Amino acid sequence: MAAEPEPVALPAPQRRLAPMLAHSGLVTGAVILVLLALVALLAPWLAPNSPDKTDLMRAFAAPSWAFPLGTDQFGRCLLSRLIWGARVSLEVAVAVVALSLSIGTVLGALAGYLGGVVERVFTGLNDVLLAFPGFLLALAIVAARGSSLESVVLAVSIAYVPRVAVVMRAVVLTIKPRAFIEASHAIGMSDLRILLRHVIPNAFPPVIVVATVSAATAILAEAGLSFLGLGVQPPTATWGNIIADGQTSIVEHPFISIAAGLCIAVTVIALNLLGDGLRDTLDPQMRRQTGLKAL
Amino acid sequence: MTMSNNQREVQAAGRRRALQAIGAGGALSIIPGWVSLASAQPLERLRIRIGADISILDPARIFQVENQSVASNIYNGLVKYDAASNKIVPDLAASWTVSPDAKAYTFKLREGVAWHKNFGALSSDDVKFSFERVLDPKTGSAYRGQIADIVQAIETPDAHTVRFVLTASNAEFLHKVTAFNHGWIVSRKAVTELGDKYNLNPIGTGPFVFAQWVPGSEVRLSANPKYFEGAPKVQEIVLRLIKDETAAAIALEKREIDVFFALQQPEVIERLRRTKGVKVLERPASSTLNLVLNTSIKPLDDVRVRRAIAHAINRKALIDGFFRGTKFEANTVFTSAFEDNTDDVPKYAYDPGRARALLKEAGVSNLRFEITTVGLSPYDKLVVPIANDLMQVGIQAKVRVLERGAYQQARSSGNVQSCVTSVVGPPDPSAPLVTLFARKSFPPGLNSARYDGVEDLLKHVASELDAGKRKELYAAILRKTATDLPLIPLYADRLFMAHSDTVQGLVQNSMFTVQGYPVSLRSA
Amino acid sequence: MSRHLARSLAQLLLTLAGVVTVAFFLMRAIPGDPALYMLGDYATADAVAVLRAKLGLDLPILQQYLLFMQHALTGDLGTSVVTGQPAMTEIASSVPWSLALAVSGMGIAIAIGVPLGIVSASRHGSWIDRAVMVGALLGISFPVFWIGLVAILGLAHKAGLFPTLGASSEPGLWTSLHHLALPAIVLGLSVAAYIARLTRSAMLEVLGQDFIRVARAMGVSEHRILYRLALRNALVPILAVISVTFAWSLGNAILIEVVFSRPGLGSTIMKAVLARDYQLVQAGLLVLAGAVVFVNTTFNILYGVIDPRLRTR
Repeated sequence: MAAEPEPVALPAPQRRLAPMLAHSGLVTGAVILVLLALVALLAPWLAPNSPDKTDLMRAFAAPSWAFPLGTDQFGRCLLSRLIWGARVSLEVAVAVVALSLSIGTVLGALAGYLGGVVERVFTGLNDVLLAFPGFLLALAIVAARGSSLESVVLAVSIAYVPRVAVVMRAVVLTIKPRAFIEASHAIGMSDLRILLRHVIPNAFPPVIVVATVSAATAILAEAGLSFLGLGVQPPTATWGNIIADGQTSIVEHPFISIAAGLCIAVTVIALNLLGDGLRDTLDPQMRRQTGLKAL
Repeated sequence: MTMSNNQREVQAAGRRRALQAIGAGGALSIIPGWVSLASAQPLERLRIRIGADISILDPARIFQVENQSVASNIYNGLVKYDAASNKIVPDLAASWTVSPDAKAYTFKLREGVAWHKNFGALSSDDVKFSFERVLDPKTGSAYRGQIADIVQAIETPDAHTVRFVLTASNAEFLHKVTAFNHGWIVSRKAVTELGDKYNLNPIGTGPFVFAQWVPGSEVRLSANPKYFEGAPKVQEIVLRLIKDETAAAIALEKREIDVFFALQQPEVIERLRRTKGVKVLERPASSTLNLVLNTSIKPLDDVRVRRAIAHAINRKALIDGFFRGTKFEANTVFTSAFEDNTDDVPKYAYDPGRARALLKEAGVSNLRFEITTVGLSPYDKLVVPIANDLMQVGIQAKVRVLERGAYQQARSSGNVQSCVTSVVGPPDPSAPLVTLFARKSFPPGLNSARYDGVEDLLKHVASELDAGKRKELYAAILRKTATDLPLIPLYADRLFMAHSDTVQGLVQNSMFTVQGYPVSLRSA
Repeated sequence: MSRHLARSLAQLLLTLAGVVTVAFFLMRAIPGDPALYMLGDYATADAVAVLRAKLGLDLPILQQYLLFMQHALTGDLGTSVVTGQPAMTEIASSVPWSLALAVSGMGIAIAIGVPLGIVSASRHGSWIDRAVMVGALLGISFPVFWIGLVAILGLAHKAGLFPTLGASSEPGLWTSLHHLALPAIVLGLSVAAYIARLTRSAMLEVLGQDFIRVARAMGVSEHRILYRLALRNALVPILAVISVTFAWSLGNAILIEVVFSRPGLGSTIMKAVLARDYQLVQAGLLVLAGAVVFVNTTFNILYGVIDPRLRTR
């Protein structure tokens, strides 16, 4: 379903920033994410107690000054576990984005630039990989490698690389017919330099959008896998694990699972707001050409 | 003598009912589990909740209470425990005699007992076959250690007589042939013919016949109208898998199930106790849950390290806090269900300071310790606070949760540092002792601690004919094992079961199985 | 048209072959010995050797691959290590359950998501648009299993409107539907959020195009613009949205099956993963991926039927 790419003059970078700052959704999302990142980084100092220390006689305690959100079935401080859980979510999101972006952009750019057989193989492989529902693919990979943080990151990254690559390829296809590339060829610039100079800055916006989506998916996938018992293993505190732990006592003590779910939701909402905002403020033509729909 | 008209009528009615039952039983094996003919009569169906799916129904290799519950409705043993009193009573053996030196036990089998699904009649050869396959190392039975050094030969003088010749006098041999695990009798014909498929197609002589298994969902057993003690009062048993205990409680309240088996969670127990129309049964189990320490892996070979671990774990908090008082304290592997239990043993109170001191004395610092446990409730959860307790005294404790099959594998390898083991079963005093402490139970048996400090005592107690002296010997074994501490008893189990008031005649046994034979259903 | 059909089918076969290949290599990408992995780290050397021979793992990889392809074509996807039954049997018995959930879930999702997306786009910037977008944002941001847990807690436990389990083996159509209702609704709502966003996007695209602007300038009524012009052009993109969403919803369906303790392909795969039943996991993956490819191809053919411009030449 690719539209015919037309040459387009891009607005200068400064002209892109102003509409972004004016977009309320984007700003809200960004602010929330910054706050979350701070919480995650400052976890060792922010958490009132150790997230792992059990005290069975204090199980399911009501909120108090010592335990602001109460305790779980083992007497562990819920607030501390949620704070440390933010750290894990952040780690997973950053790792997945870094991995899928670094591999996906290179693959997509190569496919788009080189064209021909390479592109055909790329498209075929993509179709096959995209046929596996993302979460299932991640499940299978974790099943094969064993459950751990690394497995989760690897699994989600592998599932997301095709999606990043597709966007990147579309960007490259848009840029290719530009006059100044031919001009660069005339001056004698090497292929690599052309790629670096023209493609990358133009690829930035759509790829960032895909990055926010992949980060959101990564957090939801980690939660899902941990909930199933296949993600980061207990007793490490992750939001998915906390929901799973709270499941057995959910009727008498629903707050534990509910709180962890809300944390995940707030983070993912923020990421989506950021992504939506970026998409809205992106040049509409660029958006259409890269096939970036609201994902 | 001629029959009166009344008697003839009764006989005819009985025959009609029998035919009905047989017909229903036959039809059940054709109808898939979740479809039922709209026009069929509502069956008298006893619905029991189980918490995990079944996997193995071969007595030689059976493991896990769900499998054992299904098996206890399908199989019989030579003798069995009376559910309420735990006294040994006849089962397939109508009578038995013991030689004066207690070295030979001769059993006379009932006549006219038939195997399910037309596999012929029960004979003494089936009994011989059943025990010999347990003894055969190739079968890989975990229960081999229970009878290996005791039984010298099994003779079958005729089709209804079995004689066990023992290697030495044994006053408690009857416990070894009760209807549980290796004591369940199988048909030579069925096992040989079905081969690999036998595991999930068991053939027994019991009150219920294995009809169908819908993996992940339920097991159906249909009544055996030809059962030698009389046909069951219900026509079908359905064991339904409902993992979550709260969901199971709700199912019970809504009458979607009749019996809630394997009730563990304190909150759910409390909830059901408050529910009208539901009765909660409880009884001390004959098993303790033990943290087994592998004495062949350094530094667990140093008893001071093992004692440190015992002092580090807050067992009282586990019982009072985590289990909310639904378990009992245990200092030995015997529970109050055993007459031979004693409390006169070394005890290890919760004392983190002492734990640290012992570790220092043993020269151990930063011990890396891994507890391997099975992914079933509550065993996957209760190790979390235990690991944490160990961390508080400087032990780098980690938890590894394995799925049931993988857990069995790991434990049988004998290479795990620590695992959790419970010897569920009959109140046979030698059972937990032999299973956990005898050299013949070394892995692949359940003596994962590789401990052999009571071999002589075990041999003596087996051949001691005087009950009083036996009690003393048991006490000595308990004292020595508590001193050497190859394992730490975490708690003595308590069995909970709940049922709706439409269920009559259900008796809770101490073996952690649920039996449907005496049960009848009253209309709500 | 027949060319389009032929090319679509050819693509189907090619993609299926690719899917089988990926599944094959995925399960063999396990570091170490698959037989050892299946039997557990503690298996005896003999047991491992026997299993290796049984699975044909000692053959050269190409031969293994060809054998695997051959078996897959005949429907033999291996044997479950746990039950000893053929993998296809276990899968076949779980498919009806998953199918019921998937169909009803997607049905609810489409019935709610598509109209909301269209209305939202046609009233771009209004309070309806904002409300739908906020709702959809929440729908895609909360983990679906969490929504399920909360639904069970609120609607089943507390309010008693629905049963707490996702399935029952009691006979009766009404009972089955009653047990299916809550899982289907939860799945449907979470997927609807996704569909609403994508549909809105697609509609906005269409509504922003020149020919719509021209029609408006010419004085054609909004009603006609929407229903005669815009929708007809948006039909294919909306169908594409549904097709893409279907694949994604299968991942959610697994989580729903587990949360509601409902039998089905998802539960079977989960059990297989936990039990390291590698052949069953592989078989389950294949069936699911196959279903996705099948649905995608059907939609591809449909695009060609609806819009001749999209027929592959």
